[in-house]
Amino acid sequence: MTPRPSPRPRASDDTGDTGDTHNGTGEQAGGEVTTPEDTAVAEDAAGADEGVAAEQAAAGERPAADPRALRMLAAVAVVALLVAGWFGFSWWSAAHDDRLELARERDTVVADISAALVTLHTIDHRTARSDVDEWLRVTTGKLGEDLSKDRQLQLDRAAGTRTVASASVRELAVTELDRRLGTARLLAVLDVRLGTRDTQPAPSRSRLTVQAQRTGEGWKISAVQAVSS
Amino acid sequence: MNGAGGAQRRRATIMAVLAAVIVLAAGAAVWSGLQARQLRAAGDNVALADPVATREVTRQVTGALKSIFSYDYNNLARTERAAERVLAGEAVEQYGRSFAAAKAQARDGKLVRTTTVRSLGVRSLTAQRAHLLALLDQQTLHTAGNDRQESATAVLVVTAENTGGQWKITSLTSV
Repeated sequence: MTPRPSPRPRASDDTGDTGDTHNGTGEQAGGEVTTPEDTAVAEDAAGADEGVAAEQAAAGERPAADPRALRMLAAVAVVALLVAGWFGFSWWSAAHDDRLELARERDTVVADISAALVTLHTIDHRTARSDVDEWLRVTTGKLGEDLSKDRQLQLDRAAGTRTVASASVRELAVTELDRRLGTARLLAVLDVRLGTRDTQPAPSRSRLTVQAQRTGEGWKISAVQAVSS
Repeated sequence: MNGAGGAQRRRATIMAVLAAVIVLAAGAAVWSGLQARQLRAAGDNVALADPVATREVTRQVTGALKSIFSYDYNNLARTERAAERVLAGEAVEQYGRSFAAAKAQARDGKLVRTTTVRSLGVRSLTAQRAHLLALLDQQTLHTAGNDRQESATAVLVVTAENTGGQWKITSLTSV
């Protein structure tokens, strides 16, 4: 798309070649506004490489069309820049909108804690070791410490009772969110399926109040309490 | 030839640059437009993000839940009046069914029930509609049975609709 230097190898460049031919004719016709070069380049820009036929077609209406084409292109460029600027500002303002930041943080809390609650209610005695490691991954603070202290106890218990548990989140809502402190409280209702060696897997409902904390790896559960009913 | 060729070449350069500008600007517009849209997607739901609106719907729904789930066997009409004031749509029937049973119990056992909202989360909030999750504590006093006290908790999914500044509960589901 860059303009070629005047002396160029004829054989290797057919667009340029025809351009030069036209240039010659143009000059003979009065040396005026003949711009086959422009056409050639414009066609290059449009990705077309049609050669002589197109060139000649363009040559017919050249004197009027060319400055107009340039003006139109300039106008389109200005409009494109304005549109880009407008969307750019829209992006910038969306990224710096306090409300939107809070809304996104809220959605992040819901997504992270929802996944964490499922993880925390999932264990299979056959994969207990990695399941309990997952518990540690999704918890922090006091709860995280307690769980890591009790790690062996949890493993022994799961092995002893041959526990298999899974859960899904039925309802979840953030009741408090402090973005500065990076803390949140939530209310959650879980459908839990729990089975042991002695009991068939049975569904139950678990209502929980949850405290969450923001960490370097997203939001984690720092406390969880069952609501007595 | 050199002068004309030079002018043409300059013009060619300008057009090429303009074409490049157009392509780049269009690309930038599309990219930033998509980014902005993604960033704004969360903003349709102003729960917590708009603290004033969130507090207001929380305040009104908390008051409504307290008033419709608290009763005194001596003055059941008060609770019914409250229900008429704060319930609408589907919730009227949902509540009516459960309250009919509660009323009979309340008269028989001379019950006084006090309900408080322990915690309330606004899950989604727009100008017109709110979805909430509420944790209720209920203390029931059996005045006919040595003032024996009973406590219970309940979690409710609540839908509320804004009718000219007043949030009316349109759906109540225990979960």
